[in-house]
Amino acid sequence: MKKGGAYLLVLPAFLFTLFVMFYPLGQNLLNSLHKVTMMRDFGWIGPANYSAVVNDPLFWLALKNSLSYSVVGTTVSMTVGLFMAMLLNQLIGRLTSVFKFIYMIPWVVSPVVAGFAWKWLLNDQFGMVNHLLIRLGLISSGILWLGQAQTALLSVLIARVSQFFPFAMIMFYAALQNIPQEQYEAAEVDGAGSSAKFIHITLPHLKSVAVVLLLLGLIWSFNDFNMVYIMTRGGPIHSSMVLPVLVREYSFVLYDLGKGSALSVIIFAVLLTLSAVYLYLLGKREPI
Amino acid sequence: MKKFLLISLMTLLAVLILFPFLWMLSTSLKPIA
Repeated sequence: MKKGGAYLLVLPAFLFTLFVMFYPLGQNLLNSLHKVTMMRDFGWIGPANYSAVVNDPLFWLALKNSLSYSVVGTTVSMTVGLFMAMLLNQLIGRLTSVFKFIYMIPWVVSPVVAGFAWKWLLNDQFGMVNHLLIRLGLISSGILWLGQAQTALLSVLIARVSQFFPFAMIMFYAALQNIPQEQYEAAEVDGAGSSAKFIHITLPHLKSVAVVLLLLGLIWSFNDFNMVYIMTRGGPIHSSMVLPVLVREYSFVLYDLGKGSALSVIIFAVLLTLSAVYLYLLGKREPI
Repeated sequence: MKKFLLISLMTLLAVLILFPFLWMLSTSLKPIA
C-alpha cells in the first residue's frame, strides 16, 4: 500500500481525536482569554482571567490542598500497597489469588460508589466509624468527620488511599515476583537479616516501579474530582477545596467560565509537566 | 504457625477493605425508617 493509503486509514481516528480532544482543549484555551459567562462571550480580555485566578486566595488554598491531597495520598497509598504486596508475596498457596482478588475490589469499584460508601461510613449521626469509636470508648460523642474544617480533607484522604492502594499493591507485587530468589539466598549465606535483605535487595529492585507509581499517583490524584466532590464538595468553608473542584466552582457556581478555563489551563500545565517527566522516565527505564 | 498468623492477618485486612462495600450493601437492603 502506498503511504497515502495509510494516512487515509488513520484519518477517521485522527478526526475523532481532533474532535473530542483538541477541539475542547483549544476552546478552553480561547475561553481562558475571553470574558465568558454561561450565557455569552463578551470578547477578548487577555490574561485578566489568569491574574484574577492567581490573585484569588482561594486558588492558593486549593493548590495547597491539592498538593497535600496528591502527595500524602500517593505516598501513603504506596506504603500501604507495598505492605500488602509483601504480604501477598509470602507463599501461602492458592489463597494468594483469593486475597489478591479481594484486595483489588476497591480499585475496580467506581470512585462515585466508593465516595458514597465512605460518606455514609463517616456520617456523624448514622456512620459506622463513629458508632465503633463510641462503642470502643475512644470518643464520647460522634465526630463530624466531613462537617468540620480540621477533618474534612483527612477523611477524603482516607477514602482516596483506600481507592488507590490496590493499584500500588499490584504493581509492587509484579515487581516483587521478578526479584531473583538467588539474591536472597546469597544474602542469607552472608548472614543478612530480614531488614538488611529488605533494604539492600527488595527496595532497589522496586525503585523503578516506585518512581512510575509515584508520578502516576501524583497525576491521577491532582486530577481527581470525584472523591472530593462527592464527599465534601470542597467544604466546609472551602477547607477541603482542591483545584478540579474549584474549576467547577468558578465555572458553574459563579458562572465565570473564563476564570474556570484559566484555572483548568493552569492545572493542565502542571499535569503536562508531570506527564513529560513520567514519559521521559518510562523511556529511560531498563526493562524489568 | 507463621502461615496461620499470616492468613489471619490477611483475612482481617480483607474484611477491613470490604467493610465499606458490605456496609453499603447491608444499608441498601434495609427499609428506610
